[in-house]
Amino acid sequence: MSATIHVTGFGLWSPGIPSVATYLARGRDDAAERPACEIVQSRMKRATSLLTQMSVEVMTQAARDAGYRLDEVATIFGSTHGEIQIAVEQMQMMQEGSGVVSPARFKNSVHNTAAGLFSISAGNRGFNTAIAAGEHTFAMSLLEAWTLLTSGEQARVLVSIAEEPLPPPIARCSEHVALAVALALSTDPAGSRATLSCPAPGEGKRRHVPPAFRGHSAEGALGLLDAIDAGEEGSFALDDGWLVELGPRPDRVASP
Amino acid sequence: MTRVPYPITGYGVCAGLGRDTDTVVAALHRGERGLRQVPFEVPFEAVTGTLPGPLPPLPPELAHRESRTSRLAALGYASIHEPVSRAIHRWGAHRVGVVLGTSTGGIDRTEWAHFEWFGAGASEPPVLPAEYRYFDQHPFHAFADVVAALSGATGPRYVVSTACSSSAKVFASARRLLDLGLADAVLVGGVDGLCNTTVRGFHSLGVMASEPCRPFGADRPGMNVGEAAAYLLLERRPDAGERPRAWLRGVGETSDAFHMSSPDPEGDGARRAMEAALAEAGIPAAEVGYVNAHGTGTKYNDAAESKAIERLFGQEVHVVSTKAYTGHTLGACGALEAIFSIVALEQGWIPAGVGSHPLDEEVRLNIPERVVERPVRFALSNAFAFGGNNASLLFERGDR
Repeated sequence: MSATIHVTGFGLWSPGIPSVATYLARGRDDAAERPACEIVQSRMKRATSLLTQMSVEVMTQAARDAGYRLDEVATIFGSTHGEIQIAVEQMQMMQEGSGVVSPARFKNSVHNTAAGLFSISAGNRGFNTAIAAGEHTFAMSLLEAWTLLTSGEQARVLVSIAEEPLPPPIARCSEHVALAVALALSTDPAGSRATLSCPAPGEGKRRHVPPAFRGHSAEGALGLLDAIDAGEEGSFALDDGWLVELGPRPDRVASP
Repeated sequence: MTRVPYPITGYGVCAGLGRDTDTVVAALHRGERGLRQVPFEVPFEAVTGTLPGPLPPLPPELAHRESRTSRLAALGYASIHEPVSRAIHRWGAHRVGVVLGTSTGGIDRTEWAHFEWFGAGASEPPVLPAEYRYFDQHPFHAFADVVAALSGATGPRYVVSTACSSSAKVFASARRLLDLGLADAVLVGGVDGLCNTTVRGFHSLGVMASEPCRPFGADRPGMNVGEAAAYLLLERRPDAGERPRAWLRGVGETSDAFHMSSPDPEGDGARRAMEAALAEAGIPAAEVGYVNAHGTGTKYNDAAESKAIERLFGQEVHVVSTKAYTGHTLGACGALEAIFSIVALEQGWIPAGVGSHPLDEEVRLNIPERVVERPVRFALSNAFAFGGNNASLLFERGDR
């Protein structure tokens, strides 16, 4: 497929790295321990996980970066591991006391918790979804975004990829850190910073991301952010197996 | 905007009603219920839609993928293997996608490992059972990898996990892959095995019944969690001269933006999802002969959904919640109930609304007490989820 979509904004959060600007400057802000998530009421935020808070935070950042209305944009939340901290916390509860889990935790334990929280907080009654695909979660989330846009179903989409660390006793099973990245995407070239092709199987170039994020589900998203910031073009790896063609901003394409 | 219809060329299922498609459909027709004891210990009374008999182990080459959901996925897949093999032969393995829904994936495997570790004294550093392999067994992709391996399909593969609407939303994802030429056939479906997390979780919300559920019924006691693996095959076009099982004519996807675990009491998001599905087919609501309701059996879902259905369809259309037969199969219910809707179109009968009578006084819907034998051309199936996530699917009979 030759159709391209436009990247119009980014969001990023990781403990100590609360914004895209901090990340690109390779800076740190040690005061950033939890995402601000200012669109979420504190009552609703309390029972949610770091994963959900990071996801809502980066979606909001990306929407604001792109100038999208929060109550209209379609959202795709990607995560390989999902709400793993609440899942394991509930397993602990099952073996202690009465063996019953917490209702406040349970209702925030589904993979689409962040999607629901964003929808409720933003008053967004449109499309949202939550995706997982193992090592290919970011690539498949981006594929879902590309199909939503090029099918004409949606004009503006936010897509995020986020993971929280695994808790004990399974912490050693995958030692990734907390990180969330979001992209704002559009069929409209207004505000375009780069174009993306349809994700396709193959091997693309890899950007050097900070060592703590190597092998993370969001590594491919960080690579795109770095490449777009550096004005690069070409085939970039989304993961081991999928790539995307990164094209220039429409206003930088030489006229014929 | 009306959408290109795609043919559904096969389906397959296992659930509380039976271990293969024919057994499940025959039990539905007879009005039997597949509700049994919970297959593990919980500290309260509960009835669940439990698969009858033991779940066969995975084949040796997939044994490292062990989980109840993966075993269920493999058993259900056997019922659709033949049409999927035909599609792979017809289009090529790389042109056949796999888009599946689940709410819990292989979480039962981590429950088991955690219980073993905790029961043995919660050692530090933790020592987990040698057979436990987190990444191969627990996350959402694990069972989808099992299905892909059994089928040989190598096209785009991912899991949609929006709780109880997961395997309804996969139809929309699959349709986009077909629309845009990224696949020529897509195996869609949903799988969720029973696990402590969901059985204890719904109990904690106070919505679980200790007896068989009674969707839309007076003084209904709540829901029963169930398990199922349900698959359907969408293709670009039917084989020459072949009549498909049905056509996918519309999908509606909306959000309530109301509450994490309760529906908008007016059913507004549900109604908009149903309207969107009808609009895609370009048909009026009066053309629909059967509505397979989400109908969980909880007070709030059934009240909101019945309002939405009545507002859109009036009081004539036949409405049934098949969760009275299978329990609420969570991430599998979208695909499972899509199959039940298609059976109504193909075989010309609507299942009895078992458990629903006497109806709640507020429910003004035509819920049949016995099987209704009559031709149906259009059927609509609802799936609503935590997060206020709604999806409606519209199917047309194969001879359109």
